[in-house]
Amino acid sequence: MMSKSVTKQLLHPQPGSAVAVALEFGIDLTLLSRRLLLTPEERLEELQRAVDDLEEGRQQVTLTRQVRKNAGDQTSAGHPTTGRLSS
Amino acid sequence: MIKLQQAIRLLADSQVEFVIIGGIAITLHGASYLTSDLDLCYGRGDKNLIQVVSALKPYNPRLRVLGIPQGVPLVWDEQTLRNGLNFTLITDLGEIDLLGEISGVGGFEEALAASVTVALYGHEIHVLSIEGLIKSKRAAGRPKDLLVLAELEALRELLEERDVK
Repeated sequence: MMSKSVTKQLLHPQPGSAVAVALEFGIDLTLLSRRLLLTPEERLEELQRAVDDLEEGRQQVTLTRQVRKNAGDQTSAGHPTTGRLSS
Repeated sequence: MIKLQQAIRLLADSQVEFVIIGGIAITLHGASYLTSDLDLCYGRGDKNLIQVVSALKPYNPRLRVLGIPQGVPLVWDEQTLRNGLNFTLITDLGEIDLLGEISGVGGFEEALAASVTVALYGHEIHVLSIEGLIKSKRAAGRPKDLLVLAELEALRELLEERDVK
C-alpha cells in the first residue's frame, strides 16, 4: 500500500520537483507507481520474464528474416513456383 | 540472458562479498530499466577472490568479447582476478560483470557503505542505494547513464517523502 503523500506526489507533482521533472522527461509515472507496490523480488521476476520474452521474440524475428531472405533468394534464382527464370 | 535468481542465490550461498549495481540495482529500487546482465561490485580481498572463483567455476566463465559470441576462455583463478579489476563475463548462468570499482563511488568498501540491504531469495543482499546509483550514473556520464537519472531522482524524492511522512 502506498502512502497518501507518495500517491499525492505522483498524481499532482509539485512544479520543479524531481517527480515533475521526470514526468516532463517522459517517465511513465503509472508504471513507476505500479512497480513501487511490488517487492524487490517481484520486480526482478518481472524483469526476468520481460528479458526471456524479448529474447524469444528476437529469435522469432531473426528466424522470420532468415525465412524471408531464403524465399527472396529462391525467387531471384528462378524458383519454378514463385518467380521468374534467371537470365 | 542472465538467470537472475540462480546467479544471485549462487553467489549468496557461496558467501561471496558483493554489491549489486547497475541495471539490476535500478530495477530493484523500482525504476524501469531493461538489462540482461548482472553487474556486481566485488570485494578484492584474498578470501573473497577464492569465493568468487569457486562459486563461478562450475559455470564456465569466459570473457565477453565483441565478435566472439561464445566468449574467450580465460584461466579462471584468483591470480587472474588479482591481475585485473573489471571482468565482463559470459557464464552458463548468463552475463555477469564483476567490477572492482564503480565511478563516482569507489571500490567495494565504498560501494558497501553506499548500499542498502534487500531481502532476496532468502538472503539479505547488498544493493547500491539510489543515492549511490545517482552518483555513479552522473560520474559515468554516458548518454545512457544520464537517461535513467530523471527516474532515479524522482524515486529518491518519493522515498524521502514516504520516510518523512
